[in-house]
Amino acid sequence: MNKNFLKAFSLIALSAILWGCRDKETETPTPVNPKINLVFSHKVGDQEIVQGQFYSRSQGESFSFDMLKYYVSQAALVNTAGDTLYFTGHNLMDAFNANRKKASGSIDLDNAQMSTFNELIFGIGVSPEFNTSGDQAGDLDPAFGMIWTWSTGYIFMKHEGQFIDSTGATQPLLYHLGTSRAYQRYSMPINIQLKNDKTYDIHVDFNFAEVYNSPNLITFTDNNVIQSSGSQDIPWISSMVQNLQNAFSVSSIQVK
Amino acid sequence: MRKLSFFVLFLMTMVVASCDRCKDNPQEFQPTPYTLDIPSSLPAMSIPSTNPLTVEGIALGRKLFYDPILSGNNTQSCSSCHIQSTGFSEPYQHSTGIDGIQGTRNAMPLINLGYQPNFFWDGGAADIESQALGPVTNPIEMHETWQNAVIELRNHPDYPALFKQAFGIDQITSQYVVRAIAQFERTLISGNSKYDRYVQGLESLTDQEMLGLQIFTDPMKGDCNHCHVLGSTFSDFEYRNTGLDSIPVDEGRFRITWNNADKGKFKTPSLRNIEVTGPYMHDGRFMTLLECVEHYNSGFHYAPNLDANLYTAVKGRMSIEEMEAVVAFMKTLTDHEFLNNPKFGAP
Repeated sequence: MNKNFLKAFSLIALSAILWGCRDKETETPTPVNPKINLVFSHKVGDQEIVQGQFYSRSQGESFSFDMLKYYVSQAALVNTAGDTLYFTGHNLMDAFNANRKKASGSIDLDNAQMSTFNELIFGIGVSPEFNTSGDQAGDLDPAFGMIWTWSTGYIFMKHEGQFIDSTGATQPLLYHLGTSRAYQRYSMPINIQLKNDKTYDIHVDFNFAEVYNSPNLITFTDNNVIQSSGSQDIPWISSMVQNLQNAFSVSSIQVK
Repeated sequence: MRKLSFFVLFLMTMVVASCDRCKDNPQEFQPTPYTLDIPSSLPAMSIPSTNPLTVEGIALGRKLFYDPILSGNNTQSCSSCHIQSTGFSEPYQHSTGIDGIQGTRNAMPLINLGYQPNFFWDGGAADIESQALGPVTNPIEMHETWQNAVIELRNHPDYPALFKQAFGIDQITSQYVVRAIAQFERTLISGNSKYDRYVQGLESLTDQEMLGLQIFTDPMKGDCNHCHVLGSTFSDFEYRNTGLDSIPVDEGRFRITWNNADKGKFKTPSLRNIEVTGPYMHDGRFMTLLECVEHYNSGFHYAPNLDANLYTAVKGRMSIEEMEAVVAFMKTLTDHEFLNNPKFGAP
């Protein structure tokens, strides 16, 4: 009886100590900063882009995508107090690679005066401080082929495919956007309240009906191969930079 | 119970200690720092903090520089067009790539690169590391992709270990390939020519060479000194239109800046070892140094962006004797120690 009591007591005591230890750990859990995934959908109007498929536009042209790659850089959320909280560096996106459709990061809410954010901002391309050397790693590794080697700097966006002109002839379409003139940060409204220990999937539509249409009409028949390689491309670059502002929109937000 | 707690505490300490140990891992990566031996004729060289010189890094860069593994069909290396005996340039007007296609510009000498602010004839490459990216992928040069080049290096019997020793990395990336090459290139320092020894009072110049030096610096005669600043690197590394053509065939610096004022401008090259780095000019149009001097004497064209110093220069201001003297002076800039240094040759 005595022995059994001692045994039982020891067991209870041991459990209590171990439980206590565990309790201590769980009592003050370190909050995990909210994780944010910017998930991109590549569309022409309402249709999700399919590789090789042709999409018609009002100018009597239709066009396709064999490749669509671009950099999303230094994404940030801005709260109602005006705090800008960055959550990504440079991410290479690829419309036809399932592993390259999102840019992710986390935000430390201790750095924010309030947790309601009403603006999403990100750059398309490589920001000036990273665009002056090819001596870089990660998604900026020159091996991804997104860099010009005769003039140091990254290709911000590659759209390669074909287009059918108004006479029905099929021609190549090759657009490479880049140079310091092309770097722009795009802003869009959002309404999101961030909480620790949560993951937010922010779905962003990248709409190519807008990229080549508004406010500047870009017709492929006039210029189907543009590589940002000289001053003759400046008007095209300016048009693209303006049009891209209309091409992005937040379609939905999922909280997990 | 106390024993148990102590035991638990001991276990935890062990776990934490062992974690700390695996983080550091000091045995593997201990490259030997390398200090450049810079001659008194040249200033200190600034080395980027991201790519400090090490014995292992330089040796790796030298091996890569001479290895055709970086070209599309493994037939050409950097050294194919940058040959030590000709100041790491090539004695042809234009170089031929792996597919038999020729470029339109003359292969640049690789001398004292660590002092240059940017690279290529038009300054398109922002640092030595970025410069090395270009020729590897250019379809008319080594015609390789960096993706392939890196895969070949990863599968090579020697390179993974050499990159590990030089940079402490487990997987080779293009970033470390260009860093290694840049380290080797920064060691290609030339500052021990006859002229340098003359400045140091160790050797004397001939009468003709002395006359050449005088013409070189005389603003009413050669005025070479204006851009090829006497001493040190013998260049200010600025971009100028020197009137090679009234309408430039190659737009030069304009291609990079898209600024009309830069049309037909090219970088002032160093004159060190100029005796052996011909043909001359960005397009290799002149075979001899005398042709170059004659160009600045009377051959230049009045292009819209012609450099102001040439615009105001009187044509035919130098006699043939004076021009030959300038050439004789330029030949005192040859550094035989540099051109024959076994440390710069194939490993």
